[in-house]
Amino acid sequence: MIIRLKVFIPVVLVIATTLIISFFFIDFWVKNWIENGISAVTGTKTDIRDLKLSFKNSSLKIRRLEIASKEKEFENFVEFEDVVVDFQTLPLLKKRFVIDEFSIEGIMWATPRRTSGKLLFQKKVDEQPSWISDLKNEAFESVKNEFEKMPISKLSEFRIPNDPREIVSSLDLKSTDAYKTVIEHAQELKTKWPERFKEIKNTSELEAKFKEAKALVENVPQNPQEILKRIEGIKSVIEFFQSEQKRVEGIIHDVKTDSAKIQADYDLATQALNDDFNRAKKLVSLDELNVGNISRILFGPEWLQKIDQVLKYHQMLRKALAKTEKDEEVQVRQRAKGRDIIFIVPKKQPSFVLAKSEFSVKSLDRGQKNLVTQIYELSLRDINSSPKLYGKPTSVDFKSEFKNAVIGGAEVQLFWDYTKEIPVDKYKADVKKIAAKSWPMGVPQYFPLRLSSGLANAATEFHFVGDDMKWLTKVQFSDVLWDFDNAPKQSIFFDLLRDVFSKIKNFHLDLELKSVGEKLDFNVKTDFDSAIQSALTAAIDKKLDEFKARLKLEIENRISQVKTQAMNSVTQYKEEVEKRAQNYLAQLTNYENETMKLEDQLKKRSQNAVQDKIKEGIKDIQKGDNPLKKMKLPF
Amino acid sequence: MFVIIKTIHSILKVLNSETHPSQLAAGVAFGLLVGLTPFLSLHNLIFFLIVCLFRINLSIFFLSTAFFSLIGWALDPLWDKIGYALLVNFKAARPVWIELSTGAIWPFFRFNNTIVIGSLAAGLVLFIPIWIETVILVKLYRRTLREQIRESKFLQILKATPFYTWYDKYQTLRQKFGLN
Repeated sequence: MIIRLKVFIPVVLVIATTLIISFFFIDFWVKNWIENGISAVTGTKTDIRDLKLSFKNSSLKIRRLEIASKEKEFENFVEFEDVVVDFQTLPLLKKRFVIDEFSIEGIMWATPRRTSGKLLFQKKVDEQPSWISDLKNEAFESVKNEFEKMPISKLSEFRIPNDPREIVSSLDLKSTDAYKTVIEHAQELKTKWPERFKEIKNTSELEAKFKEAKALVENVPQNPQEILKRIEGIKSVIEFFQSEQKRVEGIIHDVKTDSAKIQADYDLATQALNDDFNRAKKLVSLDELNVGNISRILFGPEWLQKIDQVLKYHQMLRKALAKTEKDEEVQVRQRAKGRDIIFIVPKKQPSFVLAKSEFSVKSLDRGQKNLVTQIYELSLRDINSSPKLYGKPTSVDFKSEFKNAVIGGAEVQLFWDYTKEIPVDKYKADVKKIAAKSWPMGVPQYFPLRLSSGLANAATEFHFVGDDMKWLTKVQFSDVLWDFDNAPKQSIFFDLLRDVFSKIKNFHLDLELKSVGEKLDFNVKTDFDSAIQSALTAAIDKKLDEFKARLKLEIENRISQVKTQAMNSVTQYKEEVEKRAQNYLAQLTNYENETMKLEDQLKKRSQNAVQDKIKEGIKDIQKGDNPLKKMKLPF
Repeated sequence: MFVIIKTIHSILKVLNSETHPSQLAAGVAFGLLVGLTPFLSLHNLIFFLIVCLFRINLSIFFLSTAFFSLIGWALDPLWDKIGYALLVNFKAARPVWIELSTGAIWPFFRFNNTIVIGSLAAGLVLFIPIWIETVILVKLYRRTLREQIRESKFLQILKATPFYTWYDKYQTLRQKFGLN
């Protein structure tokens, strides 16, 4: 016989028995599955005291769900008293989990644990990039890097020094060298010019020549021819003076050129002095620190970290719900082994659906039912595991009120539409009466500024359409007090900030992150930015100006010796060389003029002598003897 | 070593027995189906029940399952590609896949997984050829090789090893207590 019932029947019996026994253990398995599932997400131990799954009533009841705190080993982060899930049984046959109603009763925060909340074996989660698109991820990284490059360490380390000598000593004064160059050039010229002056005649020679000319005018003979000879002698003296004059004028031209050069050197040295002073000023100025972005430094880095976390969760959500292959008729989901293909057809339904659920939860103070400290109202709509199959967008509305907590109340509206090709996310939250001291701000070590008291009301809107996003958060702070306890003690910058901030009690903060093309734009604005900037600048400038005056004096003292030496060299050069050349020229011109006068004298005398001769000749003609025949006329 | 000797002994014992070649071939073919596909799949439970219900050699089935499991594991990337081609590119069969992924109970078989469907399809395609081939090979063995192997040097050497002596004692004890 081909059938082997002897083996088949026992095997079927074993399998059936196993299934029946398994059915009794299903509560235990579901409990473990939920505990491990939540632990995998939170990274801490999750405990369920009791779980009852009833297929008859189609309900899952979880009693006391404890999620351990990450920070404190023997404390729960949150504890839910009762969680009730009403589901549909028939869809389970189609491997679908459809929830009709879901409710939570009683939430307690920070309750003590009996056992350690640490996980023995924790799955290491790889660091995920916080953006879906690589380009956007790069843009976000560049925004984060901007804060790393910010000169916040300079702000806390900034000091106005007492001793200007320290600053001047740290500078390599360029003006000293420049003035030394002036002196060197003047020295060079001083050795050059005596050589040049050797080219011109001695004043005694000039005097001798003039005397020579003078001698020609004395004891002038009556003979015109003799006079003419003397005139020729004077002319040669004049020519001598003229040639000497030309040479001296050439020398004077060269003197002036050198003088202009040395003056230019001196001007350069003066410019170098100004440059040195400006460099010294920069060392003690806040210009490069850009105090205009105080609110960006104060609120930006911490907020950016929060954004990073939110974007990571958002990316996980997108990856889980919005990823599709090119073929739009199917969705492909990567599994540990192979890929699951989900067919997008009207007949197909998501494997998990929570169509609608509205409930309120009360949080009790240490489990005492009469002490309600928090109330939560939650409305869930169309939560599902495959939005494209389900075809409806998902929304979650959440409202809460708190007593004696870090926030007074919150209203949160979450909406995500992943049903179409371009996914859309809209998150909106209004949070009232936030304890200002809990607001994330400051930069540890460098800018450890916080708020010690006061309240804040925040409104935030986060829109994501495809890869384009805009996240705007507006916060109104009131009655705040600033905490400078961890700020550096001996820092003029923080001393000034303390004074300025003590006057700021109410202010408005805008934090905006938006994508512009492939880039991200992160803006942080407060209404105290300009006030802080002007107050800080004025206070620092006043102190700096006093110091700068001392600094200028110190620099001038340092270079005064060399500067005076350079100035003297220039003056000396001008006095010695220029004056000498000018005096010589003046003397020469004088001699030349005097000699020319002597020439004129002689010319007149020769005229007179000629006239006398003519008169005598006329007389001789009248007497019969013509003397003109014997006479050679000079004209 | 003990396991190897036991395995070789079992194979030879079954081959040399009077078991019908088609029973042995069915064991190999069902072992191929279960081995190639992911072990903890619902369809494997059904195959196992079939193996138990009909006169299929269980020893050969388990040996075949172990052997093809190794091959199946190594060929996972190939099953993934075949499965993807069947589920996504082979549009004529899509109504079947949709029915299998939306109907009652069927989703638990995970036929929408590329490795499950890829390896199962390959197993089903190879099922009949492997069956026929195994029948032919068993018949051929019994006709020509049985006596040669029985008197082969390899078997003589194997029988001379201390491991075989221990194994022989173990088998004698089993027979004594009626466990065979």
